[in-house]
Amino acid sequence: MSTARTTRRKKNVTAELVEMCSVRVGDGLFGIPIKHILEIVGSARPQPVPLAPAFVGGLMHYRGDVLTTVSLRRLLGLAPTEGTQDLLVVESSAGCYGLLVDSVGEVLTVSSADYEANPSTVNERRRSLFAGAYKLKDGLMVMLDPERLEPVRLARAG
Amino acid sequence: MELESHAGRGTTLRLRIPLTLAIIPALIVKSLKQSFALPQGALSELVHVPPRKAATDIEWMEDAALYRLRGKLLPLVFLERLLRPGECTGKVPDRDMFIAVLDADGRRYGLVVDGLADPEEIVVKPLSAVLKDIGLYTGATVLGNAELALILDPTAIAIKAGVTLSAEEDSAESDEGEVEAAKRVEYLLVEVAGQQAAVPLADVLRIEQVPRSRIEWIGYRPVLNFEGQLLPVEDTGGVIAAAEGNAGAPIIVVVCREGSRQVGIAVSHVLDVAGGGDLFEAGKSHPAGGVTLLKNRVTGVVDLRGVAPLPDAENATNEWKEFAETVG
Repeated sequence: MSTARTTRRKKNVTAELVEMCSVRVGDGLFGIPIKHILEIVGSARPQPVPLAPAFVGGLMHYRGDVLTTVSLRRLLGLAPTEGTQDLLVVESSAGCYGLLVDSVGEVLTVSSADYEANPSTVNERRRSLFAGAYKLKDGLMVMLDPERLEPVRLARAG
Repeated sequence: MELESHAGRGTTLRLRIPLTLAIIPALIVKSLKQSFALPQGALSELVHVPPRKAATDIEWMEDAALYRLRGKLLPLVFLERLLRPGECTGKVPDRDMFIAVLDADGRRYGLVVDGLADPEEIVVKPLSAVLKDIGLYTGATVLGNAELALILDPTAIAIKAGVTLSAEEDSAESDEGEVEAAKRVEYLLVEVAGQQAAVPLADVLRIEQVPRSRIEWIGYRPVLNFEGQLLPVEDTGGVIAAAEGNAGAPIIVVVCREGSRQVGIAVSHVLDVAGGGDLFEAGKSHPAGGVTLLKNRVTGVVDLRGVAPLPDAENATNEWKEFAETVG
């Protein structure tokens, strides 16, 4: 009994602390590891691209480059919002892209001890987008993996 | 980069610039309240269709829209309908339309857009594979006003819209007409004081529309001052004289090349571009000079050499002296 308690305490000590940028889309709270974020652009107005796949939020001019943006709202199948949206410039192994969210919240430090993988009941489409969740005091923060949201990969997944 | 060197013959350096770094001239067009860049290479001309003429000028063969461009039918592709399939179906909207006549690798068609902005030299930025796969855009660019514009691919649009190669048709025609075409000179058909006249198209540099007040006078000769460069304006038709007293009246000046100098011809209207046919005086075998057959009408050709040059600096003193004496 006492040994079990010690191991648990040890686990707590080794638990990694990760900094997460929290973003809101609709009613949901999502988190993206801050090391993948290059910049946050407030009230972005991406240029729409006719005939583009539904999840594409448009094009953004970012430091001399043209970024393809992914609209998290459209990706989750939510209705388009009237207000302005914030943009995260995200770095993935395949290059940079923009991620459109409703609003960017504060940076939270979470412990890997609070992490749990996707529950099996989450539908398959969502399961491919989400990378588990962190149990916070006042709710869940769903993890987003920059690699999984990469536009080319999303297009391939359909 | 390629380096080719021959002893005693010199060296050739070839520097290939990838398209992603290339700067290309493009015309900025508007559709869906958005800007798009159309590479100038494929563009042959622009036609404006005012709202009141839209219903008559654009003709329909079932679903295919056509425009009669100098007597030949030009298939039209509506950019808006192409980019938003299924949304706009009705006939022609009641507003200004512009037709960009394109020749995309032998596919000739007119791309209908809502508006035109200035031509710009644009830097081609690569697009993500996701957007390249749409097949209509070759890249994107940042315009002078910091707005983003997608670069349209004229050939891909033609293929998507089902415009087939018109080259075969054209070549068959040109085989017959080649000998004739070689002799035919293209003319700009203008109207000067109710009369039609022709200016050889090869000599036309540009067409300017200036307010009457921009025209200044050296003695009795009207001239236009283009940032220090004087352009003598020929006004045989009395177009400038007719606008006397109305400083804001627009004057159309066809700027032409004559040898090494430039001359302007004041005209009432610019009508069309057409190929001229030779005319023979009855009983003679040499074509008559100064006239041509344009659209089956005998039309006089404006004699550009007849426009007297402005006096040179040395001669000027004498002439001005004379002028001053007569005035005095």
